[in-house]
Amino acid sequence: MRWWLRARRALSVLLVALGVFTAAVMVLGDATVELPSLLSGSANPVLFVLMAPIPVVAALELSLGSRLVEAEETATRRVRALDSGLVIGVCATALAVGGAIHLLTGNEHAVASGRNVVFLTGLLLCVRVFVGQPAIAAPVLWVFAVIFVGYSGGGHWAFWTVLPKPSGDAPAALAAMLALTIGLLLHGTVRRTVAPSIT
Amino acid sequence: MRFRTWLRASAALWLAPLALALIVLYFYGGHLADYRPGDPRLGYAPRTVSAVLLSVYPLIYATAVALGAWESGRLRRDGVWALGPARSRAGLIAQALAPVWLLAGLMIGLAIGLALVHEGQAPTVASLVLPGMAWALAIAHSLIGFAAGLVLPRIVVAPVLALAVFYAVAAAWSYEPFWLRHISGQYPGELGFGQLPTAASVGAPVLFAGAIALGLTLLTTPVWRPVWRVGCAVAGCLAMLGGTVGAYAMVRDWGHSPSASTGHAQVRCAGDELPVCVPAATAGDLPAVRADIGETLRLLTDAGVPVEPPARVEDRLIAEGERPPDTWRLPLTSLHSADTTQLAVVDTVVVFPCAEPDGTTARTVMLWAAGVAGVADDYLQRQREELLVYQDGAQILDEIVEQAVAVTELSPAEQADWYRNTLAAACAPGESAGGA
Repeated sequence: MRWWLRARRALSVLLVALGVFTAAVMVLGDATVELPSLLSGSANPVLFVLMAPIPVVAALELSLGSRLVEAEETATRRVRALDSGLVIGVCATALAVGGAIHLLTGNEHAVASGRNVVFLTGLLLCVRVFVGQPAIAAPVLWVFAVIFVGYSGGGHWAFWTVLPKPSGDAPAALAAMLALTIGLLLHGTVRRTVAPSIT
Repeated sequence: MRFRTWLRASAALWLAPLALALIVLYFYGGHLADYRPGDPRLGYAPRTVSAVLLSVYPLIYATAVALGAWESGRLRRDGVWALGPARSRAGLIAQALAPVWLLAGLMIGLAIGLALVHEGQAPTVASLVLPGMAWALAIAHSLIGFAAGLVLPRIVVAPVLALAVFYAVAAAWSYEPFWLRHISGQYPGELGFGQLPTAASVGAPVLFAGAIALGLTLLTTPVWRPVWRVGCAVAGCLAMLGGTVGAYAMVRDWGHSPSASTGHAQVRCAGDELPVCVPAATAGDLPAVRADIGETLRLLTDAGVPVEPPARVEDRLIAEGERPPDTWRLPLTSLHSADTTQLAVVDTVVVFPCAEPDGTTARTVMLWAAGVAGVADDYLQRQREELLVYQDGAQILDEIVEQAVAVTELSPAEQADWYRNTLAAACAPGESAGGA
């Protein structure tokens, strides 16, 4: 188990990423920026904090991709179960960080940022079993999709965007749970035979 | 490497359909909805190009920086740097990044191509200044990404840099201090007719991003000799610092708009006594515009209105520098297409001796003057729209029409006297409407 943690670079990568996430949520707060949109033509107000989950998700991909292939394929320990635990742990930490920041500063989007980590992680897990490392493009493209076609004017975001929804939004919370569940199921069942690489 | 292999190895190929599709979607979804093309005869390509590029700069830079980081991670993963140095490092970097540069160029070309085709314009050399700047900055961003990918894992660096660059470039426009937007690489404005960006407004962002790219490249270049290694590191830091400070110094005094040089459009003038100048593209209007102006001035003079004829009348589109006192600057091209040149001349000639004359009196004077020039209907039309916002607008309108009609029944000499007196009366304190 200690070697598994070392192989996943849990401390050096994941802790740093969670630290960056914490700092980003604290600093960015509820600042918005006018970005170009494809639907409304003119600028649309996008929260800065939408990008905060990306370092965590990217670090998770790096961590899960750092494998000792031969040892893990033949291991008696249940490495996939451990990986799932790692994913859930990171998501729970992100949610806890969001909750703590919300309690400390009253920031309305802090808990939502934690939920966004859960959602984007689920999305990443769903895609990475099929395409491997380039799956990290999926969360980034989702953020860009939200920016470009998610806003339909008048402070209203389309139902599928998830990310800019407020903390208490039930469909968004459900979508995050669903994404993570499907992601973990796929992660636990689908086996890729392509040799992963260590970067 | 074979061409096809070289292309297929690059992530740029896989991202290209998406990036180019976004440009097309943006053009039809966002740009066309917002863009006001103006008079189609003007056909000023730099304006079209600057308008369409306005929102795609961040996308181009984000693509370049992410792909740069991804490609550098690919070279590192494949152990290219551990091989014997049969090829130069610069050559390797260029080969790895060339598809990225190609994609950035395609994105820029597609955006301006769509816009120019839609407007039916041909590109000019001057109109390619901003696309050239965008491409230079895309190359700088790809080098920044490449350097970052050499040090940190590409899985983390590529997505984070993509979003960070996108947000930073797009957000610089909505934040103060103003120098942020001038060095961000997004030329923050649409060029007007006859305007071109100055060398400084294009040079500052290139200097900033170029210096960061150069500095990071120097910092990540492995050198054997310790002395050289220190030299490289120092030079890299100095380049980054110098470029940032230099770019800041270039733009720190600018306001929210970047500096632009004017007067790059071809001008056609006509007339010796009263020269009238318009853009060469709309020179066909010139005889009619001159006739309108001359006729209106003559009618007003004949009616006893003291007219100081201008030394020159020029279209505001071709205005350059400070306006000499005896030059009139009117939006002649749009005035002529709206057929309101005469009314604009009346507006310019009838000047009240104070800033805020009495509303009803001033309108009566204007209506009379417009009637003298034969455009009373145009003036009433404009007043009807203006007075809509007032509750008693219709009443005021009736009042001024009544007064102006009463004046036109006087003899010409009396009308001229009335004009002079009322002009002063409109500005007299405590005096309300009336005089006729």
